Amino acid sequence: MQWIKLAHLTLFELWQNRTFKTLLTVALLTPLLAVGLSSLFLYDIGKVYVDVVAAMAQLLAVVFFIFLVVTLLSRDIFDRIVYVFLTPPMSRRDYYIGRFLGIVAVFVLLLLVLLLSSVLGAWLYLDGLSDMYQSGYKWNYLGQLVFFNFFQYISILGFIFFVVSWSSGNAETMLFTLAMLIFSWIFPPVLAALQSPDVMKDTPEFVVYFLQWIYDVIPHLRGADITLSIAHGGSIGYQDTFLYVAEHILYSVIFFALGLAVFKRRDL
Amino acid sequence: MGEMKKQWVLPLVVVVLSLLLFQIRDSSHAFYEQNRTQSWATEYSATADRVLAGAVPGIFSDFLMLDVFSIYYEAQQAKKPSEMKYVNTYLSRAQSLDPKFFDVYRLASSILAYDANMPNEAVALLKKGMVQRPYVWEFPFFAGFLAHDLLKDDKLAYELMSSVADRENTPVMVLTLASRFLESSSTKEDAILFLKGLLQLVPEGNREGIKKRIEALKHEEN
Repeated sequence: MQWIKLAHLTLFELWQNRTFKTLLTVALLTPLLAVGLSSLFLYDIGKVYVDVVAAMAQLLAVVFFIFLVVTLLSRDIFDRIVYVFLTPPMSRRDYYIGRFLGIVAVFVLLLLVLLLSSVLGAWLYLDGLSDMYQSGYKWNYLGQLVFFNFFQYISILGFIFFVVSWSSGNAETMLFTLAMLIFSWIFPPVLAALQSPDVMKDTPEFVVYFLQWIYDVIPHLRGADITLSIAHGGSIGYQDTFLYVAEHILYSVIFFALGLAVFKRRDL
Repeated sequence: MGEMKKQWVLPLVVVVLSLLLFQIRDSSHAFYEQNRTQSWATEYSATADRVLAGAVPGIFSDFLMLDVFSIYYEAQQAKKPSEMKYVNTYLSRAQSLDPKFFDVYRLASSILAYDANMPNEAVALLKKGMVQRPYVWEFPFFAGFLAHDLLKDDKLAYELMSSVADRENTPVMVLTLASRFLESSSTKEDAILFLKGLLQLVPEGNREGIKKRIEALKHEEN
């Protein structure tokens, strides 16, 4: 159970980090930005408010994983700080699990601060507007938004642990993490475009099979569908939610297990 | 001899890569040349927008709408009416990213139709809105009015306005106005009444085109 101690330490370490405190401040100030931008619009004010929160949730997550998580893990491994932890009774497995859960806890904290500040901002601003300007806003939809954002990045976290297990330096880890983030950002719309009937009619058959195979592997519920639906006051069904969560946990577990298998054999 | 051959490998690779680079650059240059004959602002790729917007198309759509506001103010304040031709592109891009965005359709029925003088494009956008928001009565009504008032196409106006009655929460006044338009018994006063109602729905800064149309109708009436 050494991993619990390391998870606590990770939580404390990241909490002390100045970049994390900056992210918390940005999360607290997000409602101000959302109110400022949404007040420029005519009708869909609630929708614009949720759009800003969704965009900030993505931005905070990207900065958190690239500048805090990658840096923390790279420093551990490439600056040999991991030697301090990897003394008996702590095993490499304990180190990996402890770090992973500690980072998850800090990420949850960041998203909770964003959620609470956004709900408070909406309560002060949107509740005072008439229904037609609220775009069907409900506070629990903001909760759903943050919930989906969390699982989207949990699979990215699994991937970071996989990359860190074999990469040769900080720059390499950052490069592959950034590549994965860009891929997960642009690939779903590209695939949707490739699968449109206009494009499909000129596509060779083996490419169609390949595209279908990729489509089957990635989650069918896309981030863009989630944010648009929630911004317009529509919730996501239980079945879609379950599948989305299950798929992202599965990716995370697969990448994490692969990373741990490599890390156990790595020459530190 | 072997050493001699090795010495030539690197320069040869450099030359081949340079030739390739020139080839790619030339074809790329031709692509841009071809595109310069078109207007970058009036031709766009919806897929490129979606790829760029990723998981947050809503905020990108919002920024495009802010662009529409700035184009409008530039056209009005800097007296550059030709700038208004870009409004349709920006509204269409915003609609493509967020098809349920109410503000897009509201600006289509006001700025796009009356300030940019693009009633055909406005009706086309409102028709898309009718599909995306099947419970909103404003879109078919506004589209029908534009078809009647600006396009002078009463057949299209009939088609569009007849769907108003099927929509929930349609005010009685609107149904009365719609039925007058459908019976072709509407007068200029009805149109002025409708446009005055529309004025209340549009922010003060964006009313110029509608006001001009009201004035023109008043002159026609006299």
